[in-house]
Amino acid sequence: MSSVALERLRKRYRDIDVVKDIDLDIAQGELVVLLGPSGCGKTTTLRMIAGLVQPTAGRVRIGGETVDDLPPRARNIGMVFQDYALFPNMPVRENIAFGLQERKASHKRIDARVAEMLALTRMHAFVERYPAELSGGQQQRVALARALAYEPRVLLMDEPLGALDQRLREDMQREVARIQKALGITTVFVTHDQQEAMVLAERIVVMNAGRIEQVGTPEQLYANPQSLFIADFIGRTNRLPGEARELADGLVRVALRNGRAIRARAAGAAQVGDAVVCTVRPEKLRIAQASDDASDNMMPVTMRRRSFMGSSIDLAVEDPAGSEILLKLSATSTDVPAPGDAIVVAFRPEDCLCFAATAA
Amino acid sequence: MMPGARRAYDSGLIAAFVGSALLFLVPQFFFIRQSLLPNLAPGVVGDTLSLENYRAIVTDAFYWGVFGRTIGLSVVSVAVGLLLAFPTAYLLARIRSRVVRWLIVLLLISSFVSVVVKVLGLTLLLGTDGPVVRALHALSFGLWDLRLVHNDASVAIGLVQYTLPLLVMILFGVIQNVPPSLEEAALVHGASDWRAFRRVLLPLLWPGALAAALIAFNMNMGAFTSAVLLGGGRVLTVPIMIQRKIILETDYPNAAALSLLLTLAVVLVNLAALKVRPGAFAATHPG
Amino acid sequence: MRISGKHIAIGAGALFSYVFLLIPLAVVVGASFDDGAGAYFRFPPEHLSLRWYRELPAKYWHGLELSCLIALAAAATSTLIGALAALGIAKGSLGRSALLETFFRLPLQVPFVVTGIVFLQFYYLLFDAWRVSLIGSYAGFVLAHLFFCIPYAAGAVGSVITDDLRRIENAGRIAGATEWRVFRRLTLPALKPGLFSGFFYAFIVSFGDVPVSVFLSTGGVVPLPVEIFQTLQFEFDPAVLSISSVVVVLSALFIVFVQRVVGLDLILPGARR
Repeated sequence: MSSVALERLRKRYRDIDVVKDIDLDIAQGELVVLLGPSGCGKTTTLRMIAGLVQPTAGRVRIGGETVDDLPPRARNIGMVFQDYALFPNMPVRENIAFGLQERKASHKRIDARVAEMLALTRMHAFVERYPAELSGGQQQRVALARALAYEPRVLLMDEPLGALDQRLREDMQREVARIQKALGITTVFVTHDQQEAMVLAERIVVMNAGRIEQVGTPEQLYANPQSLFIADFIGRTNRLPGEARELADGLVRVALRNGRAIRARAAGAAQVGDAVVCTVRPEKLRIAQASDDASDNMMPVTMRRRSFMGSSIDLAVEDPAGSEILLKLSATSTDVPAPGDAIVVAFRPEDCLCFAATAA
Repeated sequence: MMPGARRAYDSGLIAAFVGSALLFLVPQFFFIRQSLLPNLAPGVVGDTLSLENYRAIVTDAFYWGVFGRTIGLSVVSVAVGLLLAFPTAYLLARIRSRVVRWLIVLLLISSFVSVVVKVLGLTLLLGTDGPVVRALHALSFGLWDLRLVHNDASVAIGLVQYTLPLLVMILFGVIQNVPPSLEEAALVHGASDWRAFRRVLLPLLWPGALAAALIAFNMNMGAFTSAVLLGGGRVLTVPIMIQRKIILETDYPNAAALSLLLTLAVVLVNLAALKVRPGAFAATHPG
Repeated sequence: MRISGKHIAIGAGALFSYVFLLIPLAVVVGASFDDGAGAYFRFPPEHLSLRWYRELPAKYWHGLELSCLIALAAAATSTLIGALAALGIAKGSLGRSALLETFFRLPLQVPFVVTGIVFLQFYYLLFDAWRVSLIGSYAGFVLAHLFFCIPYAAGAVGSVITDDLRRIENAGRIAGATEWRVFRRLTLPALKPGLFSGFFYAFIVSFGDVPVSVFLSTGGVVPLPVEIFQTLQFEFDPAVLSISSVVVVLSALFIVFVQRVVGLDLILPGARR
């Protein structure tokens, strides 16, 4: 297993920098997720690691050695593609055996490894079937088996679960995580689904417009997003636009557009007088009680909808400016308001982040 | 679908079928009949039906030679055509660049221009007073006085000119149907460029390529522009013989017999290809 | 970018193909500017002049006109018939019959030269029987060209009638559209690439045809390719160079026009505009 290092990696197509100065160190055995919206450069970065795309500048290092001059087959990596890319003219057995055959492994070794991979992905019943006869999930597992068969030192996965339905997707996420942990293989996983990233990753690399915006564990990114983009992209959050009035004790006093004044934690370089956006997670909002701390933020809202989600109760309320705000209450809450009720929601200043309002 | 609509489609099909059947089959029927009649004198045809014309041709070694040459030239041209068409079609299908648009325009222009113009260009180029011969003559200090036309090779070149654009266009469509990720997967998993081609791309292209080859083969078997103008009377193919029988000897029955034997040869080759790869018979349209 | 062996092979092959295809055309156009009235064509041209453009005999222009008209009629009619056939096979009561598909492709099995004399001979019979003269007539050419154009058109239209189209049509029916509206607003637009490419290829094959038309030409009614062919066979006339150059230029203009106005992927799906 090897580490992967990206040094000032850049890719330019005509006049556009699709990937700009990426610096990243991935430790041996780590599962890192490249997360971001479409067009952010995550797939291009992955393909540069694979050697399918040549960087315009910068270097890729696998296991400490620079691999830029090496063709994909010499990098000893495995890759699972978005469309699985199983060879339609070969049955499952031959697909899995492909890499070993190209590496001139002995028949004995090939047979042994194919059997191991089939067991690992639980596909032994399908060994003689052709890809066209398999379902999406089955094809995906064969693709994974094929990528791992020749014991590569790095595993690359390009949005492999995108085409699966929700249930199957979640199952496969757990499968991938299990297999990765079992083999201890360094893995780079690309996805635009932040939930998927949260489930799988030890570390998430959030990318936007060709750059890395933030790297961190799921907890770090969730609790301490460094930009409005990240706050919005990871998990659900409420956006409250307004203007920064005063900075004191690390907290910002903000005059919200909906008329209320609140205090929030300064999370970006917001100056007094700037237009800002405050974010607060739905689960940090609660219905105000008489016993609440006076230093908490309060906001009068009108109840609109409630949804029972099984493990939580989601409330949609409307603020004085007409914007929708989401609350997440525990499933065991009592006194859940009814649609039309006028209520007050409360939240602590520490749970609210204030960002400068850039085009995020 | 509503029954009314289905009836409309059926009527359309019936109309097309009847019209086509008349066009396809009626002239052929009379033609076959003509081939069974004896040719008494130029322009004079007898009454008695027999297979005599066929017997005379089939038992004549000379005709076997001509058929062999015709098939040989057609096959060689198709092979050369495929060899050239594949890299061209691959480039057009895989390169993402605006240049590709203009390359396709050039290709379409080339297919638009009649083969007779291309052959004209070839005679100018390869003729005894043409630049190629003169250049070779000069380069070899007067030793090489080559005859580049009026031989099998020049006819084959003419046939390739005839079919290459179509081959490129068909292969273009076929290659486009193979996702690039398949080739990439092969490369990442350990295959060299050649191995990726051999093990993944070629097997997937094969049915479409065979269909294209058959179309080109059929075209070559029926062409005579190249053979006449580039062969200069020394290259004898079945189409030329047919033409001569009509124009020079006014011998319709034997021309008909030869034609039907030619058609039979084409059909047999196509059927043989069907055995090799059943899916190949579906004529792959360049689109 | 790393230049691999594969890049060289593909690049060289493609380059050679293009040079191979375009050099004869360049030679023809180049030689057409030569003044020489000698007994042979010269390339490269020695004395440049537009002589052979100014002195183009009328017969070549007639031939060009005739070829265009024949190709237009043959392409249009065969596209119509081919479309009816393809639609009927895909959507009619009989279902996708392989037999029917093969039937409409039968003419592709018949070598062009054979088609030429089949129709020549047939037209003689018609003349003997009913005094109808189709040889050397516009209708005669069109009819014979239809024979080999229909398979192209039927194939082209057939290839765009996909399962996806059926799903889209069903969605339209569920949304409440009548059959006619489904056809007009969903089917027809989807057919467009097939109709265009079918017409286009039928036109190309008809316009450039020699082996069939050469047998059906008489006296003054000769399509251009046959005219050129016969000149090259029997006489010497530098005017073939100029008329051929005219054809090359007109073809180029036409293709560029189609590309600009309609886009290449209507005639070559996947070609990108």
